[in-house]
Amino acid sequence: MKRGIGWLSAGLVFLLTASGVHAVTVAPILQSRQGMVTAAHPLAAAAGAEILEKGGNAVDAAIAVSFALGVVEPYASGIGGEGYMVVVMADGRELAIDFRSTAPALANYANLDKAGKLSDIKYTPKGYCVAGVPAGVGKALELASLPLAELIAPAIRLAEEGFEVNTTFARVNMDAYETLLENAPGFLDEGLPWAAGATFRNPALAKTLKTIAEKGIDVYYNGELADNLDRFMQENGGWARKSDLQAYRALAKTPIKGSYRGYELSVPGSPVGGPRILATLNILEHFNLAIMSWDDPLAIHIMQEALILTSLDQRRWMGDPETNPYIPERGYVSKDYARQRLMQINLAKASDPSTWYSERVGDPGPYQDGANYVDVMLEAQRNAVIEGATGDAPPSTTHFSVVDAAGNAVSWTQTISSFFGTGNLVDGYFLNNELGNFKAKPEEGSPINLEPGRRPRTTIAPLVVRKDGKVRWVIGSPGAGRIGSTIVEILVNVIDFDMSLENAIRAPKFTGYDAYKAIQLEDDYPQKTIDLLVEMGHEVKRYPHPDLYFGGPNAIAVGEDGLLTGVGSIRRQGGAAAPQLHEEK
Amino acid sequence: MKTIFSRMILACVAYAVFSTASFAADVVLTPFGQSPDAMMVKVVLKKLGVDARLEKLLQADELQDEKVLIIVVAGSSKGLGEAGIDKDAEIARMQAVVSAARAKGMKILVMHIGGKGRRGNLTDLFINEAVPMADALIVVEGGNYDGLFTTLTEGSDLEIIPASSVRETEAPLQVLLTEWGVLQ
Repeated sequence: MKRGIGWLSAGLVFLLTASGVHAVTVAPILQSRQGMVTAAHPLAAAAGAEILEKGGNAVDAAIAVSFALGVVEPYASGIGGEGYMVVVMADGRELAIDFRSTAPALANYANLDKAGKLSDIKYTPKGYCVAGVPAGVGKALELASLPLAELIAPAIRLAEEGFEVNTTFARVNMDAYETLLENAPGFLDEGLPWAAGATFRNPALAKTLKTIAEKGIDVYYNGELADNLDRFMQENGGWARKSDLQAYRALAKTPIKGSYRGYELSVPGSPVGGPRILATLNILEHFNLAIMSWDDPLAIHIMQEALILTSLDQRRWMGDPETNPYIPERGYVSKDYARQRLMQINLAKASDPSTWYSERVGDPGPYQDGANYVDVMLEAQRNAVIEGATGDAPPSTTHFSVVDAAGNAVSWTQTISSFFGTGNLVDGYFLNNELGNFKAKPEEGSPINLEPGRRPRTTIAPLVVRKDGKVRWVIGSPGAGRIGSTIVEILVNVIDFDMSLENAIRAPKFTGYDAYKAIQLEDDYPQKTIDLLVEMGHEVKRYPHPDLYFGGPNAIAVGEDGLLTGVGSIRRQGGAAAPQLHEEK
Repeated sequence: MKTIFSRMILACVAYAVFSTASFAADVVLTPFGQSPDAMMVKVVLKKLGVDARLEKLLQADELQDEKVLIIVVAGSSKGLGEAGIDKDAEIARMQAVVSAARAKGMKILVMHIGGKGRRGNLTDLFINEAVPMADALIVVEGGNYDGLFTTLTEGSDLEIIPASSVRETEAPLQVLLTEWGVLQ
């Protein structure tokens, strides 16, 4: 069902060549051989490219982008937030740094009962989990080559000098107006939301970043910044204390490995969405999607059903491996388990959402140690049953990607959960509200029951894709429950449908997630595609195309000849930036 | 971002702005669609020295001796849900309020201040109801991106008064409220 596609890019790409000029080039889509940074805001991407231009590596640049995003997108991430990154170094070193937030010691069900429902505290200091971004930066610094102060400098400059508010900032600010008016009126522009075109400065955050630059990451967890947070929490009824900050650690792990049609994927493990990406691709690998097209209703149906199966499993089984005795992650991402799961897909008919939790949750446990699916299925057909589902994940978050000229790659997603997090501002940064990602009430066996020190589960999935050992794509996205489907669709678009990265991102997206009973899709599919999906039993909900709801991936493609193509988020006014290094003589 | 001192002042201003006025105001303000946008208009009115009464669920019998009814139109599923009202009941509420306002001789100002981001099926439903009720219409840039307001005002005397941002609605508000006897 291929057709003329209105969204298809005309291929307007800026190609950089070494010009001998010290500068950084920024554009929505960019090509370069000197290194590449893509981020949800062009100024943040430029901050990373500036560091590359100064001789920093991809990790240096990524740290600069992380701090800069906290300034130019204060609503989506920052030092009051958390995240996960995957680092693949050209020398073969690989690292998955888990800087997810943790529940404070006072955050338990007994105290929650006294405070009300989990939803009641979402926009209060009680909704905060101990932030991990600074500790994640601290861990990443072990792979960096430049001093911390140099990497923070662009963010300090942006916070002090200010920048022009774009329409995304203005829209998000308007949507959160009530919360900000109540929790952080000083953030507003004299009582009103920041309008596009206004100049936004954040001197309080600049001061905080300077403190970190001068005294190091430890000042956030053990020093005056920890004291400030502790004071704020005690004065405003929050649960976090300085002792929680002192106990926090970012964790350096090995990425989870998987493959799809000969490509190698490195993803972060549970409790984030990396394993689900692998589990979904394991199922899709059994279908010849390449002979279909992006708008083929059968392809959409197969992907939707696979995504539902893997999200049901994720919800039942995945959680923080540090605080849960049993997380069957190896079974979940095994190829054999995928064979059993794909048998659940009816090629002619949509699954009934009313049966999802009662009949379609799988059990990856028997595959933990590499069992063959024939043996497992002959032994027993196992179906776990769970009741209900947790709420939809938040829509905020930001992702950025970096590849340097040496081939080092960083895929980094960070968040404060909801846009503006709790809406509470301390030392110029917003506090996350990750606590809402735990179970509202304890449920026996749930891996996301609220427990002090536990990391909540979320859907983020920064990843690196390689072929024959060489980095080909660095991808990730914000978008809550849409993250998994958006990333899978991009991968299928580039691998199966042979699209350029730009077109893979630009192509209309649909959701596949158990929290959504309907397929939600961007409104650029042919009517016949939608008609057949409805005929197959899918409920279809349409959105404009493109819509920020479906995420804002910022990704980089590495050509076989080493040419880097950066694509800034089309749905979020993102940008790509590259250094213009001196040509070596 | 302001200094700590100016933040404190702003907090006080915000508190004062959003506290319920204890005296009859010349302007009563209500959202149509239960978005928070009416609060922003109240802030702009405050800058003009107008203490408007903001009632999220204003009823016909709650109109006092105001001269002007300002309807800030934008649909919010979240807001409707929190208010415990559905779209049909919201439309019925507004029809009753406007009818009562007309009977009292009040002027009716309709405002859409959210730009393109505050458009969509739900909002458009309320816009279609609201525009024919208006004596004056202020639309912030982007709100009329597809010409909906133009279509709704065609063939009538109603003019679309544009503003580039919420803050910039201050000037047309000043003109209208002066013309209608609220401001000197």
